[in-house]
Amino acid sequence: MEVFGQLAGGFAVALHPINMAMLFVAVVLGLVIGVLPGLGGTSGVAILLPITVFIAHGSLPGSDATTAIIFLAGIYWGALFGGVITSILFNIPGEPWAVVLLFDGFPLAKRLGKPGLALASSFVSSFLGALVSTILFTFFALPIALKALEFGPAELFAVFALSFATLIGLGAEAPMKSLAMLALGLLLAAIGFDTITGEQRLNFGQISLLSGISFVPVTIGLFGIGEILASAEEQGIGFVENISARLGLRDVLEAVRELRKRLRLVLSNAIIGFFFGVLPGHGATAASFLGYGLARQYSKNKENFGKGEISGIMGPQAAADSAGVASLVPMITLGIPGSPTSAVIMAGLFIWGLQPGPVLFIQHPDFVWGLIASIYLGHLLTFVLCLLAVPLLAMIMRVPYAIITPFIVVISIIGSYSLNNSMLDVFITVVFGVIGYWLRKMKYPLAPLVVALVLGDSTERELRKALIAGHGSPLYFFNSGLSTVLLVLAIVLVLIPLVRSIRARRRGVSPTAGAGSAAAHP
Amino acid sequence: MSRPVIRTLAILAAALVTLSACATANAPSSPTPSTAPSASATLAVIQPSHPVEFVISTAPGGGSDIYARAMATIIETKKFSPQPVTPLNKEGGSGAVAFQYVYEKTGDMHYVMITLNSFFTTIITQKLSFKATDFTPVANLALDPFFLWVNDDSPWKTAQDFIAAAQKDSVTVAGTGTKQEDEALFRRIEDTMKTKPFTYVPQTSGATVAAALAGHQGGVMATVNNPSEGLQLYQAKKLRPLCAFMPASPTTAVYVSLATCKSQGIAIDDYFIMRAIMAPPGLSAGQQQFWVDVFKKVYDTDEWKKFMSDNALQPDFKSGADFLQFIQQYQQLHQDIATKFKWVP
Repeated sequence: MEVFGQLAGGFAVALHPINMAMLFVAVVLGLVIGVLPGLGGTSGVAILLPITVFIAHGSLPGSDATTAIIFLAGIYWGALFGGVITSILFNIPGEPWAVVLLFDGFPLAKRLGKPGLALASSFVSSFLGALVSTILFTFFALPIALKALEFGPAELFAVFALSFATLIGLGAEAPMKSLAMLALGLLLAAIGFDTITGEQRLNFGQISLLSGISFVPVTIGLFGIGEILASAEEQGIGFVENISARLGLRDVLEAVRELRKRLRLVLSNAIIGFFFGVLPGHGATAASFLGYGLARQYSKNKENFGKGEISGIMGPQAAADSAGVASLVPMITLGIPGSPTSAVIMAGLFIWGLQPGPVLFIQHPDFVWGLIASIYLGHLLTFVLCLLAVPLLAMIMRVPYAIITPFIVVISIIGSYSLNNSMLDVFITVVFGVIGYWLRKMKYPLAPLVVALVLGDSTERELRKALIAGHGSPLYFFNSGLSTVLLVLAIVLVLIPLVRSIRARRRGVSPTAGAGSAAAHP
Repeated sequence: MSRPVIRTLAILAAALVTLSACATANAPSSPTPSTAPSASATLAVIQPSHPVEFVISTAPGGGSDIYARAMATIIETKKFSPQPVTPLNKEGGSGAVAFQYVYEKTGDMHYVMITLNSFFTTIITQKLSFKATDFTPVANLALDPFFLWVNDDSPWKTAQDFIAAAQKDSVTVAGTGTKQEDEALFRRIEDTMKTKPFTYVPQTSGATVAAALAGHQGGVMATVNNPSEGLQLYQAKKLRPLCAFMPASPTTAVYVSLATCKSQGIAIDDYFIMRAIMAPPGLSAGQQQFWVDVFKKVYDTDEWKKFMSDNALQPDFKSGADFLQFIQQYQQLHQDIATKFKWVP
């Protein structure tokens, strides 16, 4: 097959010493950027963009535009892996796609005392997800990107509806409380600028609120600060204080065993993540939530979710990393970036004097295939680096919580500030820290709020775009086969628990069957 | 600890130092006190004394973001400014957040901003407390033309076919944002050609507009994408331009044979997206001149010339009185559209 020849050529380019050296520097930088909350992959890539002009123009011996894109993409791979570390260890998301890891990552690390296993589980599923995605990238980039163009507002709305449906029942032991949190999340998501009508909404005349309430400072507050306030009161009740010293690769081997038990989940989430990533403008974060919802639906132990379930780490992480790689596919093939980070990488292409699109494959095959080969190598490199770091990172958790606490507060505040260089975000973090503490005390589940806040904006936009296109008729959603299937599936998923609980109530049994637990419930 | 682990740690630490250095460079600088002694200012060279923020009103990767980063990169690599010029995204409210932010930096030359037509439409429709003419104009570096695009498999071969269809039924079209330049152009077509009102589906970016047309998403039949936004899908044989809203056919190689819309009966040839630089209100003439000189130097580089031709931009440098007149003309044009189509009550 022709593809293998081209891929071999790509590896020859990517394995060139200068390219390997820059790839190594990039993934290390990416890991650090990923770990720092607030400073995301997108801004990291944007900050380093000017440097790549020197790289692309041969300022380093043997470097060219291929070196430059290998470098920028490498930062993204590092950030995809590194973003989860602070989620798992400190309950603060390092990157938007690591928010969902707060639900089960931190509980597994802190409450069950297995930080090494939590980290290793995330890394192995990241790697496998990325590998699946890169293979699909190698063989089917153009046809899949063209297929994704047909995904209109109705189909996208159906996908979001399905995401919500898979997450129904998070915190189901108190359905009304979950509903209230869902509504609060949607309300917060509505603040800002109504992009459909071009009107200001719920901002009380504040121009700075027109950017909307970003979910990153909210989750840093709700989880990071809220957890600290709650545990200060509990004095660490429910925490395993003496996490056993487990240096070496034992955690990694256990994670691999756990992965083999969930191979079908991880592989199917990786494939779903790939398709999600190819859709323009959504990328890894939305994919991670759908991945979590699906992991929960597949699972026989739904009640373990939110308490440190490994599927709740592996499912979303495989989908997120796969979507991250896939977001480069429509950018390279058609000039339509699949995620904000890939949009900045595309800006790089323009600045180096290249045009993305089908012509790129013909005019600059070395560039395209060098990049594809570097995705394999970059992930391998990141994976090995991360696994070597697991024992060290796990050791941080042996430091008494009281000593880590001030450090977490500081990085929470710096993280929210560096998001947009704005004090408003710091204010939001602190306010939601207090709200998070209060919600914990009142036993309100936090997960539905976060899900609604993250997905609310996009869901609303696609719904309204579809209604404009359908001239106001809701029947428009059933015009295409795909959106019909997805919507029916979503409705069924919502109805099943409802029917079950009504039946159970008729028989006089308390309706707990199949109920998932609230994330981050003490 | 084993040796590779220590080495990894050392690299991580080194990376952290590098990164925090970058972060510091990116941090906002406090505005210079406006009480600077004016006597010494006449003697001293007027130039920024600390890092400059280059404010971008769109998200990373959007059209104006790419242009701003290309300019900032040229300024950096050619050392046109004694202080670093760092791009900073202040997206939100179709530019309102960025405009407000820069407006509040009155008299401070350490802020410049890249603007497009939202600089007029947003200030008008969001009823902001200031006008476009309140800012200190620096320069316009290029004009980005509009094309009329259809899907490659569309039955419409010419602009007349499109107009004939639009006069019979409401055609579904897509564009970036609501009450912004794309919708403004469609409303002008509606007004000039007496078509049925277009069904306008707002999208989030130029790239998603092109994608919506290429995929027939939501029945979208036409767009007015810029040439650079449609280029990749044109080459992939998914999109096809019908005509250019320009006084003469474009000179870019791929589009050279494209007819003007005027020659096909749509008499609009005076509407472009400006790619212009603005500074906060109240800069002194000397401070204004500093930035005019910097961006003139950018405009004259081979890098910028190549960038303009790659992206099918019309080279068009305006500063001083010419630019001021252009701003006033565009402000009036957008005010008229906003009034006519009841964008403002």
